[in-house]
Amino acid sequence: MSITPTEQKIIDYLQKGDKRALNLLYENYSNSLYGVILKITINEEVAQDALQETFVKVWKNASKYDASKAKLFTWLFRIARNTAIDKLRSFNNRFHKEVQIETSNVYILPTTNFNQDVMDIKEHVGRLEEKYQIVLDALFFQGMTQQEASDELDIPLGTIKSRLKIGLRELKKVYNP
Amino acid sequence: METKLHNFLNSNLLNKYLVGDTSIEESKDVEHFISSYPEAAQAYEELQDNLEIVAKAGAVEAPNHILSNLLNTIEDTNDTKVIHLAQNRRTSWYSIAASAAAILFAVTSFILYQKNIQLNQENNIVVEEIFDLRSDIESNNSKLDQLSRELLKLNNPDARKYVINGNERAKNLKTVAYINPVEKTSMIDVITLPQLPEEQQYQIWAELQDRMVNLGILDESDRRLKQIPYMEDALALSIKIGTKGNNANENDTEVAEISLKDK
Repeated sequence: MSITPTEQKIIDYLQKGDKRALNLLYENYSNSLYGVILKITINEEVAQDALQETFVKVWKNASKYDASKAKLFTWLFRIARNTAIDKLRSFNNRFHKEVQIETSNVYILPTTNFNQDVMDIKEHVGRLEEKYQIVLDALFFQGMTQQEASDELDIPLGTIKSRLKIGLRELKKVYNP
Repeated sequence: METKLHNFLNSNLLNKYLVGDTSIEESKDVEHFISSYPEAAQAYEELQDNLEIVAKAGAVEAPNHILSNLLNTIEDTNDTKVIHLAQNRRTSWYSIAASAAAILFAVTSFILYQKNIQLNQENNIVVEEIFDLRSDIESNNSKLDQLSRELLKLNNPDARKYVINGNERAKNLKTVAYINPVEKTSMIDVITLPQLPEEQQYQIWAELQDRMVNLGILDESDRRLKQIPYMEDALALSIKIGTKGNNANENDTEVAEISLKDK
């Protein structure tokens, strides 16, 4: 598994308990993770709380990170996503609202629930057509399989596959992780 | 094998693993595939890259105050750790107390166990003694019954008492016979018998009209009321000194005699 020099530095700091790891993590990953958390929680206040708790968990569980099992971002993503789901659940419980999380482990959020106003998608992402964004969100954030995305979005499976491919290709032009 | 891999790649398991939605067992399966099949490892690597790209694409600027909050929280957590150390120290006292209690419990248990063994042994002795006492009671009751029966016979108004004293050959000989002609029972009570040589013994005889009948042997050890055969029409009872092993010699030396027809 390839590791960038920045990732390696962060991992070293984390394993030594060096607080500089938190600054580097925040600098490199807070926006991506905040975007993920915001998609799940919708609520900015809950999302900020979840983001802070995510980094606390990362700091406390730094020794558990295994670079051979997941890239640093994947590990961060898992912690952020689970924290966001927990926060959303307790937030909904607090206001006696029905929890949107199904009994299944996979968190599926209806596409209509996305609050595009708070997503603050950057200019280059804005260039990505919405039809690609919807497919990518369904596959990466809602935990759907391609077949499930096809059924849910009422789009043929072949179209899902091609939109995923094109969407990723366009994004890769901008990002090079 | 390829079918297995194909099925795995087409399943949603790798996507679930990517986002951390798999159970422990599922995670083990996925990690097995990743470590065993380069295709699976490559698919996982690609998914991770894509995830990061998509997340970056959906990035939202995080508020700066969260970082300072975060650093403060970490500081607080460190402070808390000091408290944890104090708690640990307290816990160690609890451990010592628990250990002491455990040792006390073990010692008490051992002592009680020994005491229990001792009490069991004593209980067995008491049970044996009770058993012996019961058999003594039964034996005594039996003797009492016998004595009672004998007393009944002696007290019977039909019973006649005959005191048999020795002649000059056995001056110290003294016995008492009780004969009940109605119930046809005879008993003899040996009071004193002079000592005889080893090979000799006292025998009691009944004298009939035409012959003598041996009724048994009298022994020094028979110092109690003894049942003897009842002889109808016996004229007298006599005690003779005879040779051991020879009970049929009516010519033995007579040492005492009493007539039964006097009364």
